[in-house]
Amino acid sequence: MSITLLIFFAVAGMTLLGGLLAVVLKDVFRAALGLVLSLLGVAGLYLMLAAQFLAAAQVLVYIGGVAVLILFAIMLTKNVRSPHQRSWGSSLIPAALLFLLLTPALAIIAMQIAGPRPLGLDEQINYIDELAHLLMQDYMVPFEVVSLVLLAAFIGAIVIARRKPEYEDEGGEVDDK
Amino acid sequence: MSLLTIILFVLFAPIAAATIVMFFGRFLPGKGAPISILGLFISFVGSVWAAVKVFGGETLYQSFNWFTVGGVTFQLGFLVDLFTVVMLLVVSTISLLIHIYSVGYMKGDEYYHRYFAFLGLFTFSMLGIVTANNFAQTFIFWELVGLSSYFLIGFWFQRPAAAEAGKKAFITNRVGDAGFLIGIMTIYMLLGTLDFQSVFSGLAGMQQAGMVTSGLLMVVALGIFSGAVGKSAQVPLHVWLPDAMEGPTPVSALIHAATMVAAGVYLVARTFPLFALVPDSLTVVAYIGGITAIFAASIALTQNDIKRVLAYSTLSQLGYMMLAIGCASQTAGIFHLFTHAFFKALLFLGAGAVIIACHHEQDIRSLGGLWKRMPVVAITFVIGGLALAGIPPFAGFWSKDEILAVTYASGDYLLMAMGFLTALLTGFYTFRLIFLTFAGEPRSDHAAHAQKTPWVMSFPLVFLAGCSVVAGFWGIPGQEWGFGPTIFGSGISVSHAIAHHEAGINWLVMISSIIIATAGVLIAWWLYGIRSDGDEWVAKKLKLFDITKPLSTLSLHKWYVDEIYQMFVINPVLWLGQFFYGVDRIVIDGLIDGSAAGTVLVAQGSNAVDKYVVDGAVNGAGWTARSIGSGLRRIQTGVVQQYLGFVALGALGMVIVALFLFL
Amino acid sequence: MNLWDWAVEKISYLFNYTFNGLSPAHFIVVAVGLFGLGLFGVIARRNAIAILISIELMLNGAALSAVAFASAWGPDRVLGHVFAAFVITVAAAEAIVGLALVLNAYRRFGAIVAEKVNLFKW
Repeated sequence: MSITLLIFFAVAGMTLLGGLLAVVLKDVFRAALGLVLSLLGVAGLYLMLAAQFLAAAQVLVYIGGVAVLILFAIMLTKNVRSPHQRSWGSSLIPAALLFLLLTPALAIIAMQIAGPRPLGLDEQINYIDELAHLLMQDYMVPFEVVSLVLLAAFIGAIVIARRKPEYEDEGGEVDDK
Repeated sequence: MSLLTIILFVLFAPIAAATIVMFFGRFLPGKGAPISILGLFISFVGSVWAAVKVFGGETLYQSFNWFTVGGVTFQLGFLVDLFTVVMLLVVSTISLLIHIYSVGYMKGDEYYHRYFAFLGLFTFSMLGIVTANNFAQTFIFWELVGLSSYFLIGFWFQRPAAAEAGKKAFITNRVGDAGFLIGIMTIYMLLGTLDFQSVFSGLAGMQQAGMVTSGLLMVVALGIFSGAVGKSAQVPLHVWLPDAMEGPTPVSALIHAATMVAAGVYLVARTFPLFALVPDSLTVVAYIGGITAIFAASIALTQNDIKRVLAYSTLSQLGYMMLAIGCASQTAGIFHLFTHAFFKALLFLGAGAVIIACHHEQDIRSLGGLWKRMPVVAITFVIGGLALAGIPPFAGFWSKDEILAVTYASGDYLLMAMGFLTALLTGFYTFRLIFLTFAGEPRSDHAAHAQKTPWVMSFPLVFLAGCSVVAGFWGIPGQEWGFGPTIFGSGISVSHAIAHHEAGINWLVMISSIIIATAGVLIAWWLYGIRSDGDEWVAKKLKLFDITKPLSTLSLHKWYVDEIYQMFVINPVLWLGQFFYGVDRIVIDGLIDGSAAGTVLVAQGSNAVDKYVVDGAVNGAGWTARSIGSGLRRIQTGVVQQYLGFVALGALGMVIVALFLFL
Repeated sequence: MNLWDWAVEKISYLFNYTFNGLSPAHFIVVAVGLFGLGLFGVIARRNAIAILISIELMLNGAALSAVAFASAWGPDRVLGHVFAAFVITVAAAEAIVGLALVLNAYRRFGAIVAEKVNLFKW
């Protein structure tokens, strides 16, 4: 059992634990915090896979952006919750069953596909350079397109989340107020 | 002109005339009678011409193929020899005379033209019988004669008695014809041909070769004889003849005196070679003839209707003819037929004249004294009566004497006794009739005011009276040119009795017959000529003996034969008919109703099937779709998470499949 | 060979594999686990934001698995990284829009309980 392995198990454990907390905790706020833990763990795993850029991006975008946003949304909608509500839906048991069945199956399949090989990480290669090369040359178009996607998302979100007082109709309609 | 052509004229002139008269007679002058008479005249002339040719040595035996069915060819053929010619002469002459007579007798009748048409048809049929040369053709014309007699006897069909009489004649004939047909079919079965010559020689050959039993030949002979029994009204099929007097008197004269009843005798004489093969059949023929003769004569004793007396007399004389043939003498039989035709026709026509003159009064007890008012009729009638009784030199004597001689020669004394007894009775009843009708004083107004007879009726009477005198001379025994040798000495029919004939005159028989006949006449004269109350005297006298009253009753009531037939034959048949009608109604109708009910049942079943099965299937399909649908739509809850759950489920499924593929 | 022996063999192999040096399989297991947890959360949770959180988990799992596979193959070893990058970006965009919707829904319904939003119901 080498050090690497130990670190892996620690980080992996953190990731999974965070995920578990995210789906199990009744309090949404705490669930969001569990998400944050999980995201951190994933970043660490990225590092172990020599995806340094991705690790940084993960922390910056996911945790710094998405998680914060979620927390804000939770705080904005927090007053609604009443103690009498159930936090679990009617599909609990099927969901659990599904999880228990699907996860091992997928894992086995994936492992079969991957095959029994060691982690082929080469210290000589600069993976960031490689990533940059791909992004800027072969996958230029998706790169630009995805920026458009982000733009669309921003505009859409602003439109959707606008406060429209005395509005009786279904939401989503653009209205000049 | 060839003999064949002449014969064709002889045959077809009457029927052509009959056809024309039947359809157009109403519109023609004289209502068609002249045309009929013309046709008959042609036939008569043809017969004479043919006779001349045949006596000159010509004969005709020719057959034509008529049609072929299934490998069997039916032929038409003509046989003309001396025998045929004699018959032709008799038939055409008497028929012509009766046609002329009928002009007067049937004057004013509503269906005058139909009468002449039927007369023509009848003559044609009779001529057809005597010229046929095979059994099939004979049978065809045989039936035609029966049919014509039905028409003629029942001519005044509005009278129920006449219609019944017509029916009776036809049906009784039919019974005899059934036997005839059996005989014919047996012949066909044995030989495969019906041609006379082939049959006679064929059967003789078969008998000699031992290929056919006497029993079978007996069947053939008796079969043919049964046809003759029916046609010639022998016992036991005699019952139609007396009733046939319901027809017009000329019809009685034609049919019953001269021709139709003679057909039976002709048939037996023509097919004599067949009978000769089985001598026992001849015995049957003789006895039936003899029994008929006595039986009929006994009835004639007490009858009071002119025509009835004559009818039974005819029966009796026919018996004589059969008796003669049964004693193996075609000569005697046919000779008697020949003479009898003339004097019996004469008697009938004379009776007809009397009837017309006395306003259709037919009961002789109401007649009398007519000799004063109708001398011609009276004289001719007496001549006929003398011929009938067998008094020389009239025709009947010669033929009757011939018959008696033959019975004597046959050695059967019973037959001879029958013959002589009948002769006695014949003389008696004939002159009883004559005396009661013509002699003495009129016993009724009708008789007292008898009308004059028209010449169309008197002429035939005179002519026939002449024939009654001279016809007999042809048969003077022992002569080479006599009837027997001439007619039967050569050609197809051979008479066994020629030997007897040539043996000379049998004086014993001849004298005896004269004595007996005269005795009968004298007794009648004493009872009815001298005494005017003959019947009552006899009745009184016989009451003393007490046994003959029943006999005379029997005689008067025709020995109750008709009643016996009605009870034992006719009623059972009618009952059977009713029975089968009931069966038919119940079974057949039951079947039909049953099948109808069955069909209805099937239809209902089919309907039920359609309703429950077919509709059920259709409805079931609909119900299934709907229930599945309404069950499945619950999945669409609107809760998106559940939709995702199903997606995941699907994904799981694919993963598992992939697992199995990869593992 | 009976079941017990087979099981023992399989488990011992598994143990050997797990604890004898890293391999892509390790990371894949984690990624799949994240994905499964996220799926469970999406289906089972009632709160809409909780559902969004679970969605983020799933996306993360997907991205991680891409990177894990990338390490296993060449020559374009970093293709997985590209994929993961795009996933992160799109996930962010989606989170933005989703939360905007949640806010809107909250304002309308007064609650953000997923089961109540069932206009698709038959």
